[in-house]
Amino acid sequence: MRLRDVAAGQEIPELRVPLTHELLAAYAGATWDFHRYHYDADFARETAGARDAFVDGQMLGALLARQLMAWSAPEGWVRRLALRYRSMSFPGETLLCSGRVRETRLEAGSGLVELELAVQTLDGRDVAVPASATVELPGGTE
Amino acid sequence: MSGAAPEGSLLTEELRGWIGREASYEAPEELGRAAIRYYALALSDANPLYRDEAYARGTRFGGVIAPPTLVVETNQYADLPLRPEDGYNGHVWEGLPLPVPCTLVRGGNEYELLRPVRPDDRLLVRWRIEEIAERRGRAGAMLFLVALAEYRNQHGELLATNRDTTIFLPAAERDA
Repeated sequence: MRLRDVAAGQEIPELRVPLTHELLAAYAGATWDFHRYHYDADFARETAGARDAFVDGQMLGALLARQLMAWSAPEGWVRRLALRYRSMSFPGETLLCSGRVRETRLEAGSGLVELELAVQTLDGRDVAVPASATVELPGGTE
Repeated sequence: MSGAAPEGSLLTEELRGWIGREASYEAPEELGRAAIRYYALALSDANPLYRDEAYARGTRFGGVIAPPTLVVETNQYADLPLRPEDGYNGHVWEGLPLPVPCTLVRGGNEYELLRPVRPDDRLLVRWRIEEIAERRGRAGAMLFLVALAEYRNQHGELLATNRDTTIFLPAAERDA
């Protein structure tokens, strides 16, 4: 993708992620994070008042980055990503990652795309909102 | 609500004294291609940039790179043992003098991913407490701790920064 392929208002393809215990365990392992919150439902209930093992908030950023890198492939790079966590999410729920281009600009030969993003459950509960990102793309001269 | 902290009582002078405190870590080994592929696999991310050297060499990245958030997510660099009470093994502000027992909640993260991280990068990470503030929410008084992590490689190149906000809720508030 090139900067010229992007315009303000454009929506990026949504990403739906069914949450499973396997996903939580695999992500915990892949980040060297062995906190019991992410695989021990009894522990999560007793110490955090959660109904089950719950998603590591930072995984939400990883999912947004996956979505943005796929959208802007193969040239795109997620240069900035910001998110605020609103609620816990659990196995059995499905996350919906969505986004829209807010503006594009050329800076020192690089194309920069500013996006507004959101992670919600399918029934509309905010999980990471607001979220935003800057994707870097080759500029108009390449 | 008998255990609720009155306004102004959470941010003690002792706690304020922790603003500016730093913690540094140096990864014992390079990140490695296996760790990169494992992270992509965990996210069901089939992007060949993270696994296929021949493909990646043909892109502007010039070789396999890590998914953008791996550098700010992994605890690999910290090389800490698993904490007995909950298994956690990442960076913590050990001994942070909270005036009352608190539940820790993640507030948010802001990542600047300045350059792609590569398999042969070895991480040097410095955490610094930028701000500790007391705020009043619907549930009562709470503490916000903002820390900035800087991730460099063995050549001193700044790879990424991570502004991490943690919220400490007095334990009595949650049970109220």
